[in-house]
Amino acid sequence: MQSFTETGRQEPEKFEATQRLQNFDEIYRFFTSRMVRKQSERCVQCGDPFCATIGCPLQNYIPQWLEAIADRDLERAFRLSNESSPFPEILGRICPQGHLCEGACTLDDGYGAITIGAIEATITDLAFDAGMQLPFPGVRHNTRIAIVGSGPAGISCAHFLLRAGIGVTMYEQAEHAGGLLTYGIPGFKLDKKIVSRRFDLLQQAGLEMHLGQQIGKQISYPQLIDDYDAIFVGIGATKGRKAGIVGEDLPEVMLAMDYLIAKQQQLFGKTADPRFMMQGKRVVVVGGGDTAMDCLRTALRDGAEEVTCLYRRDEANMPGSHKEFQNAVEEGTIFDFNVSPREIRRESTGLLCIEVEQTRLTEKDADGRQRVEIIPDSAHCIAADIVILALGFDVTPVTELTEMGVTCNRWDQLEIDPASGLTSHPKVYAGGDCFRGADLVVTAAADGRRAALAMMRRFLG
Amino acid sequence: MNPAEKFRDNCGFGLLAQIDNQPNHQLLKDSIKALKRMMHRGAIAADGKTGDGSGLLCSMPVGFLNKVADEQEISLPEQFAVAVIFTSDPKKQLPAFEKLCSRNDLQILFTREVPVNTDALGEYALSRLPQIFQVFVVPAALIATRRLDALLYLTRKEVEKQFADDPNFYIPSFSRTLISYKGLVMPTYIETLFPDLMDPDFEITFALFHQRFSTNTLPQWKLAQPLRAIAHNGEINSIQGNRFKARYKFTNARSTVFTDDEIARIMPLLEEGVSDSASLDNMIEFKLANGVDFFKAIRGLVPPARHNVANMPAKLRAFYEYTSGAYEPWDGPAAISLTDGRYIGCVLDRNGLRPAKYIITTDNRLLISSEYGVIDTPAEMVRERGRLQSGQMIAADLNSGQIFYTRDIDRYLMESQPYNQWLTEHTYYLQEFIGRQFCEDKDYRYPDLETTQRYHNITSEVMDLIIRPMMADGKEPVGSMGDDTPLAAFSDQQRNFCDFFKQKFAQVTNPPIDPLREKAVMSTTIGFGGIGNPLIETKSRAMRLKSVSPFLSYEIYHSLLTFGDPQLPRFEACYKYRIFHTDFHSDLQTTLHQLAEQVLEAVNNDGVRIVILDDRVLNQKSKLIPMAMAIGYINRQLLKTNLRQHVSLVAVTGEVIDPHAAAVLIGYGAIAIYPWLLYASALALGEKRNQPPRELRKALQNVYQALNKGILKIMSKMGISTVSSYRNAALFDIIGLSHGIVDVCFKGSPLLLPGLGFQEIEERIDKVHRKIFVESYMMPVYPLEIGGYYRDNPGFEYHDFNSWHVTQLHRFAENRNREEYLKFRSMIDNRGIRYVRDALGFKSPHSPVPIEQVEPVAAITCRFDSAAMSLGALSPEAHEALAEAMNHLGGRSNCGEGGEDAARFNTNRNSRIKQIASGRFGVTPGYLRSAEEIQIKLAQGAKPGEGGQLPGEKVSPLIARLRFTIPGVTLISPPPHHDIYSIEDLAQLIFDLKQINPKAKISVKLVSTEGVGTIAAGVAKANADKIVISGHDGGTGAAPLSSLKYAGNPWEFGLSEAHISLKANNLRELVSLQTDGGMKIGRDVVKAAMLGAESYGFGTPLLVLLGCKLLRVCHLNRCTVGIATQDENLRSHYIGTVGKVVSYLENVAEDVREILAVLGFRSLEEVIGRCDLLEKLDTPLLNHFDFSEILHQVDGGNVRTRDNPPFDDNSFEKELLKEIYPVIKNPLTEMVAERDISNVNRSFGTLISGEIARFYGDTGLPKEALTIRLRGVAGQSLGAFLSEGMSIFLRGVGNDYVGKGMHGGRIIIIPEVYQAGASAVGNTCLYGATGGKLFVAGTAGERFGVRNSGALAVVEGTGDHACEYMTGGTVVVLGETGINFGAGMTGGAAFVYDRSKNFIDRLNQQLVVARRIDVDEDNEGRLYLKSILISYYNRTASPVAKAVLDDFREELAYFWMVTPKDMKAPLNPKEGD
Repeated sequence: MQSFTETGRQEPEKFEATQRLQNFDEIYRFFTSRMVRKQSERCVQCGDPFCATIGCPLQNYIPQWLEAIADRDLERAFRLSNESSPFPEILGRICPQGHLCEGACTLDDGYGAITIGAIEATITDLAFDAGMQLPFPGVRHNTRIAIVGSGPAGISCAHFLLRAGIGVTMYEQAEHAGGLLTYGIPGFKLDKKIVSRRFDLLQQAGLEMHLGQQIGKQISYPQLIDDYDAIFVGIGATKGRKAGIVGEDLPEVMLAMDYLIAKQQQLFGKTADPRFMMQGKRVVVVGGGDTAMDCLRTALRDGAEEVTCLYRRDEANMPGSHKEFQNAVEEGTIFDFNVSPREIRRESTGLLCIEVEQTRLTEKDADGRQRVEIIPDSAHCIAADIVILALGFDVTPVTELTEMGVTCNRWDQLEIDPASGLTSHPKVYAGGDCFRGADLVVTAAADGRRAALAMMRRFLG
Repeated sequence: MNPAEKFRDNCGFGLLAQIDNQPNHQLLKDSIKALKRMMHRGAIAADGKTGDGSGLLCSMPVGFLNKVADEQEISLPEQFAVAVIFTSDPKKQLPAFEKLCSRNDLQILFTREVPVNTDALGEYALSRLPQIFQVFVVPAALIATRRLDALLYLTRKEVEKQFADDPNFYIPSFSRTLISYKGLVMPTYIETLFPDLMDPDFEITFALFHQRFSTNTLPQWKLAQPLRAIAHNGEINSIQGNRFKARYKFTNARSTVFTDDEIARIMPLLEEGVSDSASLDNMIEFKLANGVDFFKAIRGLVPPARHNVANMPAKLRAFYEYTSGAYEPWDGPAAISLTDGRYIGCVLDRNGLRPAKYIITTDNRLLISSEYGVIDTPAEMVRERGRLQSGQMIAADLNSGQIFYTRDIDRYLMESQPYNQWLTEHTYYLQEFIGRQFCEDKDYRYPDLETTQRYHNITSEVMDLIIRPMMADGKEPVGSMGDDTPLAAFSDQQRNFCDFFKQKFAQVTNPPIDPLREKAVMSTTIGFGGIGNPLIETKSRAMRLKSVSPFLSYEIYHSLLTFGDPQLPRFEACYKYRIFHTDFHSDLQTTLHQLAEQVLEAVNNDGVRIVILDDRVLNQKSKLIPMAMAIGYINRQLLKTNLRQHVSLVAVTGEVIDPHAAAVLIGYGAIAIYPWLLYASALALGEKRNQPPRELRKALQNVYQALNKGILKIMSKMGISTVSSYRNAALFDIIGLSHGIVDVCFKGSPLLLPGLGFQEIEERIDKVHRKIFVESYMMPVYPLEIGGYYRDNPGFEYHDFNSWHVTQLHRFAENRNREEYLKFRSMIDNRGIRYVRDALGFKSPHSPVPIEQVEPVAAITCRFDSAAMSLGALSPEAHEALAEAMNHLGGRSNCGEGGEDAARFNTNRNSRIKQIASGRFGVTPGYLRSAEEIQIKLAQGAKPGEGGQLPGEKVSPLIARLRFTIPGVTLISPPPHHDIYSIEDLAQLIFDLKQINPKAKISVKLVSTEGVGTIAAGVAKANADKIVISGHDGGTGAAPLSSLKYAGNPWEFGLSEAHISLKANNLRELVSLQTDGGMKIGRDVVKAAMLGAESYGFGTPLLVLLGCKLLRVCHLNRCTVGIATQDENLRSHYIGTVGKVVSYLENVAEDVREILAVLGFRSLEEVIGRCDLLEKLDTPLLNHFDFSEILHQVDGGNVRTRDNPPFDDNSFEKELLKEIYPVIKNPLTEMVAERDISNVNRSFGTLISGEIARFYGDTGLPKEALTIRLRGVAGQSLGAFLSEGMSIFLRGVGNDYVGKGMHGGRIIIIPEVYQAGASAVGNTCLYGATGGKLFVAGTAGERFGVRNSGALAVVEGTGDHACEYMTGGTVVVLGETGINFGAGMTGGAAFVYDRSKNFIDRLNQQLVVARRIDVDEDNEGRLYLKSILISYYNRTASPVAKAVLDDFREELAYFWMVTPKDMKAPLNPKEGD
């Protein structure tokens, strides 16, 4: 270990951009066992593992599995990594590590952080390839839990409950399981086979899966409450935000999630609505987060002629992962910073005109925050065939729940007890985006785990 | 107990005997003179007159006593005895004495009150003065002399027992042959006190004399030495264990002298409430009284090292092996003179840690004393001059007028019985009955291993950080930085029961041992079997089963069982075993009691002799009694029921994962341990890693090795060399258990913070058991918990330097505003009760004052010091930043030991505190002179009782230059200061330092442990100006993890104890107190002040300000922030600034101001020592804990107000300094001075060297500037820290520490009358020398040239351990050396003239290699040696040198050249650069 003085940080290799654009496959080639060892050996094995304590919402045993894999002990690394995390190979791919573990890594100051994400993904990939299994005891208790939503929070909750031998039934309104992991994150970031592999595992462990079942339609929440010892609500935050400007209801203006879902369904073999076809079009995406990047890069793969991103602030202030921005640039996205759309209208040419104003950032205020202000008389027009709004998500209110006594805040986010994830209803637990608003997959996973642990304490005594 | 009544003591001692048995008065006068001349080895109380005690044990002055009797008109018969009695109630006690005498056939002839002149006494001594009587006793009937002696002893013991409750009653002697005169008096006044001694008719043939240096100031009359048979200089480290064993050893003893009934009347043989020396005296006396041979009596208790010493005669080894079956060593530094009236002798401990020098004169006198020159024997009258070496003994038989040397005594001992044959027939090593160890692994396989591991807190962290390194390296793993976790008592996590125990360690009054380099004196051998009748040597006592280690492998364990199973052919009744399981379901205390009952029953009725406690019974229902508790409780119950002597206790336990847990079990009575779970864990780990069987076996072997090495290390911290002495010695402080538990299980160990009882411990066990068996709901993917005891892993043990705290401090360092600091402060404020101080809240009788009225920040920051961190541990950038920051704040930075660049002296980058530690690295006159404070580091919080090592790769050119060595040479610091083995030695070093730099304050750094108050009092009496009490949590660049965790206590305990003890001894005003350890915010500072500290040390937080992230990789040279490294690349990442440190400490001071304002005080000084301003917080968490001891109040001053100068003002050298001052003013002149010198003129040359260094630094004066010709016997530390330009020519002899720390100049010593092989200088000469030349035409004592890094020396012989830890310079020995030559030597060269061809056996070949130099290939060595010898001969005219030079070609063949295996330097340093 501590080889950081000799070995530099090396990220996993990516396919060439031109090649990447040919398909929706993952763009990274993860590490070989030699490479993963070399990279892991760089770890300092700190007395204060900032990566885990500060950097990781799941507080994964990062230094421990780094040490294990550096020590050529794949099985130990795999077990350590899967002890605390419900799907490390997924999080290793999609976590914004730069903001989390790798940002906290002590070597990030001047040496180059450990490539924690890539190593994490590699460990479980290699282990599964080598035929290693995760131990599940099989359902061995009478307690039964229903989980609503098969996204990260739900999977996590189910995973830990099943490890305790508690029976879990999961309800998902879509045709494929995985929620955001399946529909919200494009395949070039996360291969869908990886998600389905997890579900296969869980089903082998005893998970009962009901797809295409929307609670409130086929079956009601009160019904679930009656049928199960408790339920976990992990329905996410799926309501795309609009910009609140004139013209946003035009048919060529669409919400990011609608677009991404349609694309994924298309990849699953469904015929998509032609309005989501980007072939030869000029596509403008409004927003600077990871979802915006996903849309941009999906559109590029979809054959768009030109793809532009409009963002109110500058590059340094983008909320998403820098890694994803880089990937988007490499793949040919045009970035237009410091612009704020005011109106969208159809020009006589049939093209859309997005009227934008130039912005600038104010000086830092007392809290160190900079605000956006409009530069007067700077309006101009940006032409587009399609406009995709990637401005964030809100929670879709569920009246059935509120009627049962589950309280929400004014943004319709469910309120929960921070120690257990229990809502104000004694049988309803919740977590993930429906409680946090749009947030990270890893925080949703942590919420799911928290609720699962609380349920074990409660039902297994 | 009044803290002033706790004490430790050391001293000056000796004996003088007229070998031809002709009584004379001169001998008495000379004995007293010798005592007076060792005044500096004793101490004087605050009243300036009360000594700590001195006295004489004389042969019976028959003539004088006849005269006394005549005056009473009584004539004394041939056969009479005299009892000397101290009493405060003669009316009652003397008749009682008479009554008991008459019951024992003794008749009182008359009683005489001994005249005393109280002018001799100090105020305190006078107030305690008893009445002293001499009672003349004769036999009431015709009885044999031997019977008379027996009756005297029996009677005395009975009388003592009768008045055991009266502390003032004491019988100093009651003998036919000996009489005692002693008291609380300085040697100067002993004749005044006892006018008897001035009577010319007081003629004696021998006297044992002794002067005591006690650490306390309330000494007692009866504690003065000599005792009844011995005078002891030293300390018995294993005393608790020895006392414990003495209580059962003789339970079934039969004596040739006494009847069983009489033995019962004598018992208990140990007096209560006496010193370690007195217990030893009791023991020796008991043996002598029971007819045990004089030599066997003492050698059985103080044997030489034998287990690891090559070439000891087999028969002699057999004697000691046989004796060890009944007697374990009374272990510790010791020089003991003793007598039974006929024989008189002196013996030295196995490691030679006290000085004992002898001369035999032409007029048939034998003088043994701590120093040479105490009675001014004219040189021509010295027939023989020598010294005792480690483990040696010298004695005289006054009946025959013969002197016995070690070899004579050895021969007598080994020939006296057929020990060898006895052993061959009856003693077996278990190892003989097995093939190889660790071949059989079926006993290391358990189906529910992982559950058991979880129960025993074997986490992934323990596997990775503890067990794996043990498997790989065969030793304990090393870590760095301090321990920042809570005490077990305050932890909310699963903790091991042994965490409540903190290892004891030696500081000041006794030295730790180096278990690596001085392993030769240590042993882990154990023996099973009863001890038989220890008073009579019989064949059956040889019936023992031995093992070379207290750790059992399955094979050894199994082999042991085969001897104890009646069904098997090897069975012997004395090894009959039974296994007892240590589980309980509920009610821990009752179950423990029942378990003990079963054991007692089995021992009593079924003859079970080997009691095996086995904890392999954990399951869903069964919880485990903590093994230490079971062992401790059963051990004590066996003692109570008089069964202990039959039984060996064996622990088969999963609790022993590291050496600490093993030490706890052994410390409370276990003889052997079978750590099955450790082996099982290692095996499982190895198999998971697919290690092949051979490697697996090796790995298990390594684990076993690591445990052995670990236990040696733990023992060595306390200066104990054998496991048999360590057993039962209870050398732990217990923190947070209740009196109830400690009294019945762990008696003998100090209890700090009384707290958790059986019920609370049971609740903790329940919680763990529940967690494992009930609450582990999920099937684990990774089978073990991660754990966070060593690293801060989320979800586990709390760490005070956790990532959040560190990150916040970094944020503060960036912005340096109060707001960010306050965020940090509130994190600390809100951490809950984690450390002792967190349990205490403020209260004040005053109302708040406006903050403006509180003293300014600068008045507070000047009380701040940075903790000692050496350049070497730190990068130059960080080291200098700390110095500059502390200077800016008016505080003091501590340079640590390792030198400092002279370019920094006199600038704002100079460290005001210069440290001097055991390695003496870079300690030069210039260095010492640049200090405002010189700190003697006796112990380090992170690893008290241990040395250290700076690996070669960290020794950069700068470090090498400052430490006077070559880049790349590994530098080893020994565990002890080799010039401080006792309190009087410390006084001597302080005296040395006050000479070299009279302006500097001398501080002494101690580590918190129970008893540190007693030590602190002693340190104050040794004239220190400041005492630092460090907490256990101090950081380090590298230390074994178990030392980081388990040695030393939180500072709160030590500080309050030191403060209270100093006050109780009226010493507080002479010294200031400082503390350090884990302090982070103002609240900590104010609490430390209230507990008695006047200044405050900060270590780790300052490093964090400089960028440290607590990575804990300092020992790997991988510090990513460029602080703890010398690597250029890493150092380029350093982001520290002076301002960050300054700003932080100013904020801390601002906190202090805020708190003071709220409490209504205007300055910090007002609250120092005001522990009444603290109170235990009112929270249920603290309900069980008792803080009264910490908050105990004593009247008296709370701060230092007076100077603490040594009583010796060194006017001898001051006057000379005046005379030679012109040379210092004008270095171009030269001057010669002449003086007569005696042993009371200590540290000669040091004062002048200091004055030279003051102006010229280490450069000194031109070579020939000052020549001083001396004649006589020089006192200790001749030429210590000698500067260049000084030449000292001594015609005579020197004492200990000649040339210690010398940097330049020359010391040449030629005895007035040359005798080949005679001793000419004492122990530990040239220790830490950095240059200069020492030529001695005679032999040197033990540890010659230890840590020499530059001096050239020639001597004609040395004692043991010569050239130990040497890193440079050249030593030529023209004669025999002792054992262990060149241990830990990593640099320099030595030439040894091995005429008798036995050197190679005495060489420690671990790091060095010896080569012949009579071949052409080694021309360089040959020429270098010759040039040295020529120079030596020119200076000394030594006949040995002449003989060698005259026939150099021939004699060259007898020389060995010893150099480190990886020699990096040129042989002749002058040929370097």
